[in-house]
Amino acid sequence: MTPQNRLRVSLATARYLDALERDDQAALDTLWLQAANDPELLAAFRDIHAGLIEEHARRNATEVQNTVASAVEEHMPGAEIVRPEIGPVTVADVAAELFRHPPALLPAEAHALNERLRSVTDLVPADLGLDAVAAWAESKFGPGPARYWAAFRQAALKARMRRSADTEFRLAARKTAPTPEGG
Amino acid sequence: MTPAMHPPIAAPPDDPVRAAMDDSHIRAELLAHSRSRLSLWLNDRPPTVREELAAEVVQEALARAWDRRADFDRTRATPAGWLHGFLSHVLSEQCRTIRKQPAQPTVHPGAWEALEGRFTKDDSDLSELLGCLPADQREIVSMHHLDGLSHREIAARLWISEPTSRVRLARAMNELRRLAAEKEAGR
Repeated sequence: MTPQNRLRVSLATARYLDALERDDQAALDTLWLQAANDPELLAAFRDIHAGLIEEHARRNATEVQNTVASAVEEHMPGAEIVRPEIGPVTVADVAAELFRHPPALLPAEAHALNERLRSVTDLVPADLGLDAVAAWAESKFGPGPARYWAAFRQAALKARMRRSADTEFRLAARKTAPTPEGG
Repeated sequence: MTPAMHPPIAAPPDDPVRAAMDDSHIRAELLAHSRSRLSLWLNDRPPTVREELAAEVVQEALARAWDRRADFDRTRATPAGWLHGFLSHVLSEQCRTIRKQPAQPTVHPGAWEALEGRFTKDDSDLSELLGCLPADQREIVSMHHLDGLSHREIAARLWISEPTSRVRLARAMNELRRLAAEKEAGR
């Protein structure tokens, strides 16, 4: 796909979503006229429908989850709610792990830096080599003690491995449709 | 005694509208279109009500398309696109009847053209506008339009589905359009 075509489809899709959300029938008519003879645009609009359905299902699931969680927190204060962690590991995830399990002998400035990173939603880099992590982190968040970056890297590696294992477990444990033979 | 089995009646080869109506993939797409729009506008209704209405609206759109099938021009539209156009109309009517929602004004097409211009020209304002977007929206616009990644590649990187990637990019482009219009008005 050429950059021009990419931009054309992207703008038409944005217009389509905007028109859907505002129920702007005149704009929808224009866009369907374009899509009627344009398979790429039709596929993009189809994806928008599927994306909206996914979004709606996610919102409903979150609402149910929150209702159940708040009921458990209110009536069963001793219970621990285990929330499944999905998606890539963020800086905030790693900082939260270091907050819960701080390594020994970290200087005060490392704790202050960790506190700051607890709200950073950037993803940790793909390369988790010690030098690469320190260089990447210092370019983004400023200098920090070498001991802290080593602990950060260790926690990031653990979080990534744990999340991959969780994802694989969920994939293995997912429900499958019964075969016609009942197997 | 078992009844005699008849082969299913196939659409005549010269009737693309009938063939599209019989196509289970196209019907599934129409149903998804209907469900997605009803989920936006009838979010407070029980899911079963929305599901039933989604199917009814598709039936109504197919009935109208059938009545107007003589107007179908294969040089101007694909059958699927043509059917979606009917469905879009019926959905609008239904949503407005139920919600008593008045018709919404159309965003001036010039606003979109101006945004397109910022991407195609060497416009330093574009990087400034991108800087005003929230980090997640800036990331997806950069990945698609500056780095040239497809939605499949973006979905793999962000651990989301391709349709979600498409919806997120569309929202980000809308926000860019709004920011560009605000900037233009402030000049």
